[in-house]
Amino acid sequence: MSAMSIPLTTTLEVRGVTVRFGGVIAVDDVTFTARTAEVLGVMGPNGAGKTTLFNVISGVQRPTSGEVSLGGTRLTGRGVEDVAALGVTRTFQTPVMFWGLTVRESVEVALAAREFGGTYPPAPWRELVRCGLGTPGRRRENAVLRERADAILTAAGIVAMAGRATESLAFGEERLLEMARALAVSPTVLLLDEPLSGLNPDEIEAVLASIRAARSSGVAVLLVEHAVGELLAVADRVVVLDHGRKIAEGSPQAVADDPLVIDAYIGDDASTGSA
Amino acid sequence: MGGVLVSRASPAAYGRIALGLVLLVAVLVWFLPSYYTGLLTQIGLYALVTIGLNLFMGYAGQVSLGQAAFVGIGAYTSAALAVKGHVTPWVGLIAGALVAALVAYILSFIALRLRENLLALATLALGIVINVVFNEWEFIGGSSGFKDIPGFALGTFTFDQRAYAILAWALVAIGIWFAGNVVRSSFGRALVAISAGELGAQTLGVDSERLKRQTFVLSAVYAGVAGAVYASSFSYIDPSSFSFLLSVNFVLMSVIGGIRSMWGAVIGAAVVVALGQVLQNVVPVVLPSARGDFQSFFLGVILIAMLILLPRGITSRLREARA
Repeated sequence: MSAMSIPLTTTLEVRGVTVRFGGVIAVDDVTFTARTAEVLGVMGPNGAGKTTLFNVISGVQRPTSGEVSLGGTRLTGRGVEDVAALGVTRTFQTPVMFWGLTVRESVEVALAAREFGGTYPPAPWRELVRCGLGTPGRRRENAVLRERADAILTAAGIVAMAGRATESLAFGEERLLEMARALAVSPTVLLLDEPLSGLNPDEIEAVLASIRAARSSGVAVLLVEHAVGELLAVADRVVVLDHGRKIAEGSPQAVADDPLVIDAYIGDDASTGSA
Repeated sequence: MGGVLVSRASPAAYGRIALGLVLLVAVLVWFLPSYYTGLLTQIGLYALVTIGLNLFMGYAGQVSLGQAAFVGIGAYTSAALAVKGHVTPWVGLIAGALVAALVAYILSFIALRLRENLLALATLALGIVINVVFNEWEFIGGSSGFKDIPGFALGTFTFDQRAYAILAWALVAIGIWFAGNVVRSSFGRALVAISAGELGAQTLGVDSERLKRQTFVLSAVYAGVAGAVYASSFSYIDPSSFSFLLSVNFVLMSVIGGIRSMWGAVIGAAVVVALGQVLQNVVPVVLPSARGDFQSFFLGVILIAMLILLPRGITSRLREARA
């Protein structure tokens, strides 16, 4: 474990989080922090509890005990959309696509939420009525959303597919879109669940570039990735889980040399390290 | 619901075609026998309910087997106000829509906690419970309902069958225009997003519960408006007019026309009503000994065949053919 400096820029705090499914402990008393403008790698063999941990942070799964907070605001106990409104968003191991929408429209969904202070639709019924009546003000907002969606797609390098139906995307394109969509909500914390799996080398470069760009714009990126080489290369710090417990935390180099970590990988899943 | 085509016609196009439809009806009613004018009114009112249901089923990806109850609430509200309080049906129409919306809003807190099959069952049960209320509440006529419900009037002109057909289709036009705007807006896109990947949309800040609630309430407004016009145009309602079978019919109209198409709602309503009429005339000729049950039997068989052959609805096939 590395010595922690005073967490002046702490954004996300995970404190003593435990998740039990019946008799199985998926996450066991895990504590760590993630800071603005850093990439925190979350490593561990299959079944180490990485995805469960992401589910807890993003509000999908309520922990058995412990809590997650963001800049002092408690996230635990809030709904997924409220956690998102507070600035925590994520991607999934299998990309979630909005079939029936185009690529651009998918990004506009994320932008509309951001536009209205976090969640969409805003509390009163005004939005539904404005949309139904097609008021000039609402149409102007749509035009703005469209422009901003294109700007986001341009930044992600996928503006060429803006008008395509999401049903027509290849797997790698789905990953790039999901990432662009997540960045569209201007998150404080971005959880990426295996964003590189199934991608070709060009797409891997594009995703890594997006991760670095997010970091330099101040986002705390939490990265779960089986491609350990890429993870260690892009991460500023790494947390290692095994059987639900945190077994190591520190710089990529320190973690890679940690005998406990090597043992966990070789003991459980030797092939993972070669990815 | 993945893979269902989303209509991309522009809102202005929706408005123009809808207006054309009203003009067509306004002309037709002068040439049709009054029996068919009545059918035209019926198709229009059913289409109106189905447009609302399409928003809830096709876009929000939910199922409601209780829409007939909201039609009933609209009809009973307007009829009770007119018969008991001598309130004009114009006010009754708005009141009917509001009461249906209010009931849907309250029920949504129970029903929308459930998903898919369970939601379908819950809305079915709610429809039946509301029908029981119609039957048992003596103030609103109990099982005998309301008779001699006052009609709509404009100045000294009291609505006849022609006027009701035009009113019904004017409401359809407004309904299509509004729903068309909704599905082309951020609201509609958010609905498609939650029906395709609810959790994914939520992680972007989309409040799926609120979206579904507002859509459910909007669908009840469509049903309530249709009910209020129904009550005055037929001048008689009783609980059996708003039974569970009518709710099933609305789902059929929606699916047959195409759940993500506003025109599908119109086509679905027309097909189901027309099929019923054709069978009523054809079955006795082909099978003289057959009684009324056979008509329902054949209607069922034809509808099942259509669902198998056109699982995404008639409009979806039309759109594919054009593409």
